[in-house]
Amino acid sequence: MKLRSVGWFGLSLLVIVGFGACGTNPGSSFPTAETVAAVGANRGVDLATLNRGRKVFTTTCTECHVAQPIAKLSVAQWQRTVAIMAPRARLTESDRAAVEAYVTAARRTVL
Amino acid sequence: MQLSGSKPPLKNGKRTAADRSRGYYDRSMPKCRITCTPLIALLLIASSFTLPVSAFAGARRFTYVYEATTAAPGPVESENWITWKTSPRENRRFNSVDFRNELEFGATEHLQIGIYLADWGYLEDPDAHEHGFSYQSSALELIYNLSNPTTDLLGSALYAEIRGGPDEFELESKVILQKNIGRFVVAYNGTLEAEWEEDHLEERAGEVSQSLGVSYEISPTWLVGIELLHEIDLPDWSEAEDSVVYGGPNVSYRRGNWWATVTPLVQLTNIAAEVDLQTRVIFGFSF
Repeated sequence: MKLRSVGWFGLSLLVIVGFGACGTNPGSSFPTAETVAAVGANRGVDLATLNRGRKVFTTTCTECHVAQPIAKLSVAQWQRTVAIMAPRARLTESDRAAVEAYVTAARRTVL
Repeated sequence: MQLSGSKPPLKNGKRTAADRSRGYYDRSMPKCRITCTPLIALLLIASSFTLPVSAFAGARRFTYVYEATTAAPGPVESENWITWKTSPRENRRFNSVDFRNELEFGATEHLQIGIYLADWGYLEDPDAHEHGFSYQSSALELIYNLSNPTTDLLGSALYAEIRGGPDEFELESKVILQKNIGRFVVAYNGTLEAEWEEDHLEERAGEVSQSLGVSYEISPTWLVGIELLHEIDLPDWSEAEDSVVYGGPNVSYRRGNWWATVTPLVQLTNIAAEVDLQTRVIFGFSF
C-alpha cells in the first residue's frame, strides 16, 4: 500500500481522535445522575430515573439534532421543550417523564 | 477518464462487481430486471408517502459517512438513496444513477437493523452502447452502538453488511467513530469489503476505504458540512490499485417526519478509471 494512502489513513484517525480528546467535558454539560443527586438537585427522583432520562436525552434526542447544553435553558424552558419534543421523538410516557426529571434536576445542578 | 476509451475487458462475457461499482454495466441484464425492479421500487417509495407518519425521523447528517448513533426501538424509517455518477472531463455523455430503497429500525437500544430492499441503477453510456436499468443486489445491515458520542470521550459503533445479487456476494464491515462537540459532529468510518462475483463466485476482490465527515448544525432544521471519501481497490486481494480520494460539501434539512441530505463529491486525485463527480441524495421518512 502506498505511503500516501497510509498517511491519509493516519491523518484521518488523528483528526477524529484529536476531536475526541479535545472535546468538551460531558460531565459539566450533561451532569450524571450521581452528580445531580450529590448536590440534592434530584428532589426525591431516584437515580434509575435520572440515569434513564440522561440516556434518552443524549441518545434518542441526538438522532436528529445535537444535545442542547443543560445550562442553555431555564427549568421552565426545559419543561416546555420536553413537552414539545417528546411527541416528535415518540417517547413513551415513562421516558418523557424521565427526560423531564433529568433536565430539570440537571439544570438546578449547573446553576 | 477512460470510461469508454479503455473499458476493462469483460470476464466470461460479463461485468464484474468492481466494474459495476465504477460505472461499467453489463448490457445483457435480463429484461425482467430492467423493467420490473424500478416499478417495484417506485411502488415502495410511493407507499412510504401514503403510510401514516407522525414521528421525527432519525435523520442522517452525511450521505457517505455513517454515524455511531443508532435508532431507538419503535419507529420504522424508509431511507431512499440516489447516487449520480458522471465523468464530464473525459466522457460527457456517461451517466450512472444508482438507487437504494432501505427500511431501518432499532431492534434494541444499541442495535439497528437495515434492510436494503433493492439496489438498482440506470446507466447511460452512448459511447459504449450501454444503457438501461438493472437490478444489482439486496442486503442486510447491522449497526451496533458501543459508546455515546455526546457523553463518552469518543462515540463508536460496529457495522456489518451482507449483500447478495444475481452475480455477486459481498461482506462489508466498518468501524465507526464519532464525536459531538457543541454544534459540530465529526464522524470517521474505516471500511473493509470482501466481494465474490461471477456465475460461481470464483472471482474475489476487496476494497479498503475510509471516510470522514464534519457537520455543523446551523439550526435544528439546517446543517452543513463536508465529507471526504478515500478508496483503495484490492483486485484478487493482491496488489492495491491507485487510491482515489473524493471530497465535497453537504447540506441536510429536516422537518417534521422527513429529512434529506445531499453531498456532491469531486475526485481530488487524478485516477482516469474512476468517475470525476458523484452526487448522493438520501431522503428519509419514519412511520
